[in-house]
This record gives sequence, structure tokens and C-alpha cells, in this order.
Amino acid sequence: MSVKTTVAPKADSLRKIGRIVIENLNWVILILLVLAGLLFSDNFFTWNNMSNVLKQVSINGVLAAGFTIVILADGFDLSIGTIISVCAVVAVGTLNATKSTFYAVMVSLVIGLAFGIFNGILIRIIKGSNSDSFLTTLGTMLLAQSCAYTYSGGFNIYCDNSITSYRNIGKGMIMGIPVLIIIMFAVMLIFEFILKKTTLGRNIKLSGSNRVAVFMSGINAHNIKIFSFAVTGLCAGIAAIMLTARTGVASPSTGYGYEVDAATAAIIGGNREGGMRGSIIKTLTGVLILGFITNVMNLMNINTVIQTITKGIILLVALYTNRMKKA
Amino acid sequence: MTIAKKAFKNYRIWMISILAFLIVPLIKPSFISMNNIEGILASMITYGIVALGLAMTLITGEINISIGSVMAFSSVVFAIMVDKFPMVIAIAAALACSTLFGLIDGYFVAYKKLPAFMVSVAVMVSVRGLALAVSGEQPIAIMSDSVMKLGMAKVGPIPVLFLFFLVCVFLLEFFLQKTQTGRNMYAVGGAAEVAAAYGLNTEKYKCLSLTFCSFMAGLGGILLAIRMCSGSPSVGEDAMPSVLPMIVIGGTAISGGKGGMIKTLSGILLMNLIFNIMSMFNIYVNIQNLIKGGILLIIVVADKYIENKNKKI
Amino acid sequence: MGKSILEVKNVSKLFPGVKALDNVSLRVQKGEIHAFVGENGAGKSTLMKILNGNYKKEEGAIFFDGNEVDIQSPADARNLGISIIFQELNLVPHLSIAENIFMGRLFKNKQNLIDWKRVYQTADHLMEKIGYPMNSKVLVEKLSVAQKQMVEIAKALSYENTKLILMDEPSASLTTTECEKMFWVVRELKKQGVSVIYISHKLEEIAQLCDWVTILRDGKIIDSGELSKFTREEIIAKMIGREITNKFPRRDRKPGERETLKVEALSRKGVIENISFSLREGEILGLAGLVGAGRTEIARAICGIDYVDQGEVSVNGKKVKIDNPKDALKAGIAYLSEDRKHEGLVLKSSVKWNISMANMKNLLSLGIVNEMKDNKIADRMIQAMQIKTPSKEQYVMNLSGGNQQKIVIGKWLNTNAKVFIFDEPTRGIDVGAKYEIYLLMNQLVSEGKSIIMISSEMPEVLEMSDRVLVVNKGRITASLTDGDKKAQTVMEYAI
Repeated sequence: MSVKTTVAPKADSLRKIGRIVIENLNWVILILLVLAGLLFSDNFFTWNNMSNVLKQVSINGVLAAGFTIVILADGFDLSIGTIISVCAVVAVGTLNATKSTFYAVMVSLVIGLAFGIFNGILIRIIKGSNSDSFLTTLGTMLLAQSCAYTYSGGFNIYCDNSITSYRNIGKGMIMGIPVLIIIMFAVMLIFEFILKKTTLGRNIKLSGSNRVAVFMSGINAHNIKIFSFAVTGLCAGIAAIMLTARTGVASPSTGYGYEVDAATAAIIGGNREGGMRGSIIKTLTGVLILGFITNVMNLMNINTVIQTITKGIILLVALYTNRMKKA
Repeated sequence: MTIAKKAFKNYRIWMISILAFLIVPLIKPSFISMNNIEGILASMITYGIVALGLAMTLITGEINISIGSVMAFSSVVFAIMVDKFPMVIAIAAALACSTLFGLIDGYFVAYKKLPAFMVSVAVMVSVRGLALAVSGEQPIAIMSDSVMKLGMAKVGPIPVLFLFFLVCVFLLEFFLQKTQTGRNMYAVGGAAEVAAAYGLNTEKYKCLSLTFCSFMAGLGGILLAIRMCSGSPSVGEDAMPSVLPMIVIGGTAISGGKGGMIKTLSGILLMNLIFNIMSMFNIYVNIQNLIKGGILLIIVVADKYIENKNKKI
Repeated sequence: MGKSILEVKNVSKLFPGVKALDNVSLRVQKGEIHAFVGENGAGKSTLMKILNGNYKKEEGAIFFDGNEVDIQSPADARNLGISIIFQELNLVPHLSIAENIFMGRLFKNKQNLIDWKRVYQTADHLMEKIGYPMNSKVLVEKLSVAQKQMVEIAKALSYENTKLILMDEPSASLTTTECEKMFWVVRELKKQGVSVIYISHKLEEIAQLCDWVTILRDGKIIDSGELSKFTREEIIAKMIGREITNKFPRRDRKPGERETLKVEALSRKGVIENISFSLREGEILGLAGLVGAGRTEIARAICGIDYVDQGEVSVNGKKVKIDNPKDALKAGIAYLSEDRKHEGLVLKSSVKWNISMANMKNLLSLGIVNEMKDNKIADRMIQAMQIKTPSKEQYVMNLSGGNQQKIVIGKWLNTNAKVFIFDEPTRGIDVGAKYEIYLLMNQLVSEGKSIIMISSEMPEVLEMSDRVLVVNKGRITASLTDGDKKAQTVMEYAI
């Protein structure tokens, strides 16, 4: 019995190309965006514009890096936004009170870390899976929000601008490169190192794919989850510093909406739960894609609100295409 | 089981509510004033309607977090249209949009098997944006007299809209108990593989419940607009954490296959009593959030902890 | 042919690497209680699943009530009048008995609304009919296993045209009294002209209940006839009788004297009771018994995967506290799960990563993962175990069962484990790969390591083990060596 083995060669190679495109969709889109930018604008690729874009995305970049770790570990963190808020208000409050940038930074990191660990411990207690972390972080989100509100009394807190070292974090440069961008790349570098070069990183990806098998192989799968949430909390703390240093003000709604951008960037980049191929480089492409799209829409004078709608649709499309990948 | 034990098990949320009505007036007599009771009933209307929709979704084992955004969009569409078109048209338009959003959720989650919460996050963001865009980022006042009258209409101390809400509760409960489709919802949520083995089209029911959830969220948005005489793109921000405890406390589990509308009503009542008591005692908004978050966490953790007690991973 | 309800003619079924059914033919009469016996893997379940439309046959024909039929799905089977009661019960826990019976087809009144009165009445009536009067409003989650089974039977009977009921190990979780009741029900079914195919290991039960017996072995029908014409010994002999060909590699070394593992009074309420045994270096200890007897549970308890009520484990004479698999590995114990796809491997990950998973310290140079080391270890393991894969980057889910199992073994070989618990190591694996795995096991014990082998394949357990423990309903009922280590004896203690 002969089996039809001959497929029209053209269709076959078309399918192959299609495959490659889907697997590397993030790169394809990024390149397309860069090309579009070059075509439609004279100063797209100038140092000025590029560094602007990077500065804009730097905060999201830090958050998305942390979110990538959570996604790879098969979790979801809705509370990042409000954790940023509470870190922000306490940081600026501390800054004004102690006049010390060091303390302000420390406080923000510690609070972010604490909330993150709290999230991790909750998941540990319930031995939860992916959708459970969604609900627990929803609860944490409210707790953090109320903490932010309580601390600030509902008001904005303005940075004591005489403490220039703090504002320099947001506005200053080191060797010609904006500090914000340096922070983003530093965080991304460290996380990529963890993911690629440490056993922890590998365990994160493995346990995101099958945490039972990982547990049975003698790895502490629970600690991995706690670590991943602690990391996003820490990133929220870092982002809070970056935000308040840049704008000079903290309020109980400072972090509003940042969790969505972070998740979108990580997912657009092509990361999915337990994906062996997950990486911060992919997240960077996602962050850039999101940044360029926003940049282009701004240049085209599109309303921020329409931009939000577009981002939501992009997230949906990205989720769908991620499923089509081989993992 | 003794009668008392059984009664407690099945009706404990109602009993706690009754207890509240007995105890709180001793400390704050104004609690049982006509005014306050009206306020409680009124507050139950909007999130209550939304809770019914989400409860249906939970019964089939899914979840939909875009309810707040859909509420907002619906209220805006209604507000914009009701001053120019007959109320019926305005309602139809708002509901149609809400149903459309629900279908998007339903399609991607039930048929394309994307994770439910991620899809509803995407929808949530887009719809919120749409609401802001269409409304020009500000509330839209409703001038229509008939709307105002409807919002304030009462039968004795009871708002007419509350009666409407009650009718919905009973209709939906009837649907769940007395129709094959209703029973199938429970089967699909309780054990999807078993249901599928018996020839039930699980995708259809999940899609249906997700669509219905957004529909009800839209209805909630319309009711809110009627009561407030304005449609606003920023309502419903705290819909999810407010509504979810109502449903779960009432006895509808997040894991699916259990619960009901009358049970949800008991949860809606209790939660609204709690909110009312909190504002009676002048507890600040931020502490209220703390309590809401705390309740949510306690419910989720307790529920899941018991479920996974015997496993180590 | 007027009186036969089912006729199977020359049916075969192939799975990758395994011929599950080989030219099977049999006949079931109307109103007959027909027993299927055979060891695990003999083909009984496969045949049932073909009759129920879960599987499709490759060859042969099936005749039902005189007509040739093509059963493509469980719905087809049900329409014909065939119902199945699986071991894993197919009920929705939060719904009532009545609703489970009539799922998807509740009675409706003229307004198309559910007529609950009629639903409950009919359900009550059905339960009465089978001798288990119960309030059909009770939720299924509140029932005992026996009662749930009764609900399944009632469900099968609720289809008016039910002519044949397939029962897969119905008495596995029942007490004697519950069994008696179930027999009564089955006899009532017979009286009503319904035929029953009854799969069971329990020969005394079958002797009490059934009219006819069909014995399967290795996918073939060995014999089929009136039950009264067979003796118990004959049946067992036909179930297991085979020439022990050299399917198993010889092992010359004898186990040493040193005790590597000792388990004392291991118990978990309702699952295993008072499990005590010891294991020596270079020994292969077999755990035999029926599916569900508790062998896997014993292994999981030892390795800290499940909670344990009491018991102690000692390794090399020293007591160890094992709360999780990490502790177990530290103590030198490795557990290779029977569910390799979900518990042993990360399917969406590469061969390389799966091999190194249990011991990543090996990959580190100065604290960093060294890709070269990773590659070397993977290459070495692939070579040593002859794992057939296009590359070490290949995702494990694309490989065959045998190679997947080798990867799991390779993963544990890559650790310092000295005691290996293999749970159904050769299930679903072709003959060639099986032999290689047996060789591996021999190699391990010749190096002084110890193996506990859980297996439901009699020849495997008998030939590979130095000693065999028989587990029955959570207890160890026998310890067999040398002369006692015979299939007959094992069966005696297992049933």
C-alpha cells in the first residue's frame, strides 16, 4: 500500500517558513517595526529618539523581566502595580524624612521583596497551580493598595528635590547613558544570567512545565515559586524607585496599570509558562516592540486611550500565537 | 445529622446576616433605619447583578475578570445613547456590546483553550480603553427624566431596580434548576471529562457561561448608570475583588460544579452588610480595601488548602 | 446464532510496538454472565474498550444481536445497548445520584422544564430494582465506592435498550458483604435477559457468579468454555502458562549480605498497613500484586511523596527522615514512577535537560552551569543506554516509550542513588527495549546497588527478582524465594 509521501515542495517549504516565522515572531515584528520607523520618520534611529524610547520602556523593562520569571514558573502576579505604589510612597516618605537616598532605596527594595515573598508563601501554603496565583495576587493587590493609601493618606508625596542623588537616578546619566537605561539592562542581564547559567534558572523553566516531575526528581519546587514571586516583588521595588526618581512624586496610584504592560511585554516577547526557550532577551524584544508601538502611536498623535485598546488586542493576539508555538 | 446542624450548614450565611441585623442595631440604631436599609438594598443591585453572571461562569469552572471594564463600557454606551434614543434601544446597544465582549472571552477560552484569566486580562484592558475613548475620559451625565424616575422608583422602601434584581435571581435559579442547559452547566464544571464522555459539548457551555457573565456585567453597568444618572468609564475598578467574595462566601466554589443563584444572593447580602457596617463605623476606604483583600485571601487560601491537603505538591 | 448477543470474530488491535489483541474470537450468549480472566496486559481491558467504542480495532468483525456493527464511539455503543462500568468511576461528585444516572437526558415536562419528580422517582425505582434502594437525591460524593458502583449499574440500566453490560474489576474495592449485594444485582440482570461481561482476578467470585469463562493471555484467547468445566488450577495455569523463553538475561551474582534499606511498620490509613521489609545490596526485590493493591503507595510512602501516618526507613543501618523526594535522594533512594509521562519526565523539554535534572550539581563549574559538561553527560548517557534520539536537544515527548523510560533511568543513574525503586519499568515498551532495561537492572545490582521492582507482569517479576513480596489490599501477604517463587503461589497470595 503506497502512502502519499510526495507533498508539493513549494507548499512544504512555505510551511517551513511559516513555522520559522511563528517561532520567532517577536523578532520578525521587531524588525518590521524598526523598518517602519526608519521609513516613516527621519529621526527614528537617532541617539536622541532611541534613548528616549529606552528611557520610556526602562521601567516596564525591569518589571517585565521579573514577570518573565513568574510566567516561566507558571504563575501570574496581578499585584505588581499596587506593590509599586506602596513602595513608591514609602520610599519618598523615607527620603524626605531621612534625607538619605540610600535608606529610601533600601526601604523600597525591602518592601517589594516582602510583598513578593508573601505572595510566594501563599502559593506555598495552598500548593497552588497557575490559576490559583491569579487569585492570591488579586488579594495581595488589595492589601498593598490599602497600605499605599494608608501611608500616604491618599495624597501625593513630593520628593525633597534638594536630595539630588535620588532624582539623579531618574534624570541623571552615567558616561552619557541615562541611569534608568543602565538599571534596566543591569536587571535584565542578571536575570538572563540566572535563567541561562544557573541551576535555579533551569529549575524555574522545568517546574513551570511540570512541577510534579520536578518535585519527584528531588528539586524543591516550592522554593522556586517563592523565588519567582519574590523576584517580581523586588522588581516592583526597583521600578518604584525609578518612577519616583524620574517624576519626583509618589502617590497611591503610582503603579496603576503597570502589571498589564509588564505581562504584555513578556508575552509578546514569546515567553510562555515553562517554555524551555524562555529568556529575558525575548522579553527585551517584547518591551521594545511595545515601546516602539507606543512611540509610533505617539508620533501619529493617537490618543493614549486608543493605545490602551491596541495593547489589549496585541496581548490577546500574542497569547494566541504563543500557543501555536512548539513550546 | 440533626436538623439544627443541617440548617446551619445550608443556611449559615443567611443566619450570619440575620445575626448582624440583630446585633449591630444595639450598637448603632441607625443601622435598621429605613434610610439605611434602602441604602443596603440599593448597593446590592449593581454588583449583585454582576455577581450572578460571574457565579454562572464559576459554576462551569471558568473565570472572567473583565467584568469591571465591561460594566464601565456598558454604562457609558447607555448614557450616551439614552438621551438621544429610546431607553430600550440604549439598553439593547449596551447589552449587545457586552455580549460581544463575552463572546470574545468565550471563544478564546472555551474553543481555543487559552488560559481564562490571561484572555480576560486582555479583554479587560481593551474594553477599559474603549470605555475611556468613547466617553472622552469623563463621566457622561444623563438628562433623561424617565431614567431619573426609574432610578429613584420605589415600592414602599424597596427600589424597583432591586425588585428587578430579585427577579433576575429567581429567574436564573429557575434556569439552573429546571432546565437541561442549566443542569449541564453544573456537570461541565463539576467534572468536564465525565460530562464530555456523556456527550455534552463542554466548549459550548463554557462559552455560554463566559458570554453570559459579560452580558450581566453589561446589565450591571446599565443599572449603575440609571441609579447614578451618569455613565462613567472609571466604574468597576474594584469589581472583581468585591464580587468574587460575594460569590464564594455564598457557596459557589471557584473550582466549579457547585453553587447557585440564591446562594450567591446570600453572599451578596452578607458582603454588602459588611460594607455598610464598615462605612457606618466610618472605616476608611483604605481599611475597607484591606478587609476586602483579607477576606478574599482567607477564602481562597482556605478553599484551596483543604482541597490540596493530602498532596505534597 | 439466535441466542448470542455478541460475537467477536478475528479481532486484532495494535499499539506502537505491541499487539494488544491477536486474532481474538469469542461469543457471548443472551442472559449470560461471561467472565474474562487474564493477567494484567493480557488484553481484557483493550477488548472492552473496543466493544465500548473507546478504541478502534484494526482487524476483524463484531456482531451484536445478529448484525454486524461498527462501534466508533461510546455513543454508538450505548445506542446499540452496550454499557460499560469502568474501574475509574465516571460520576460527577457534586450532583445527585439521579442526575448522574440521567446526565444530559433528564425527563422534561410539556413546557420543556425538568420534571424532577419523575427523575427522582425513576432513579429511586432503578436503585430499588437492582436491590440498592437509596434516596436518589443524595449527592454522589457522599457515597461509598460500592454505592457509587451501584449508581453506575443503575446508569447502565437506565438506557432502556441495554443488552450487554461490561464490568471492569467491579469488586476491586468492595467488602465481602458489598460484593454479595453486587452479585445479587448481577444475577437480577441475568434474569432480565441482560448479558454481563465480567472482568475480574478473583477466581472464587467468578466461580460463584459466572456461567462462562474466556481466558486471555498475551492478547490471544487461550480457552473459552463453561466455567463449571474448569478447575481453579487449570484456569491459573492457562492464564500464566507460557514457555519461559530466554527473554530475561541471566544473572549470576547473588545478593550480598549487607542490608541497604529497611522499612518498618510503614502505614497510611486506608492505603497501606504495617509494611516492613528489608533489602540487601545487589538484590532485586519484586513487589507483586494486583493493580491497586498498594505497591505504588508503598514506594511513594518510602520516598516521601505521600504523607505517612507512621513508619521508619533506614538506609545502610541508619534511620533517615524522608519528607520529600529530595530527602529520599539524599538518602540514596530513587523512585521511578509508573507514570513516567507526568511524574518522571518534563515532556516539553530536551533529552539533555531531563537527564541532568536530578543532579544538576554535576553541571556546575564554579557555580555556573557549564554547557559542555551538560553535553558530555547527556552524550555519555545516551551512548551507555543506547537511547535512540535524533539529538540530545530533541524534546522528550517525541520519543518512544522505551526511550523515554531509558531517559528516566538515565536521569537517576546520574545521581548517587544506591536504591532504585522501579515502578512498572517496562510498561508499554517493546520487547527489544525491555531486554535492554533488564540488562541495565542486572548491571546495577552487579555493582552492588539494590532494586525494588514493582511489576504486574508475572514473568518479569518472577524471573528478575531474587525475592518476591506479594502485596494484597495494602498489606504484605507473602515473601517468596527460590522454590516458592512461582506464579501460582503469587496469585494465591495476591487475590
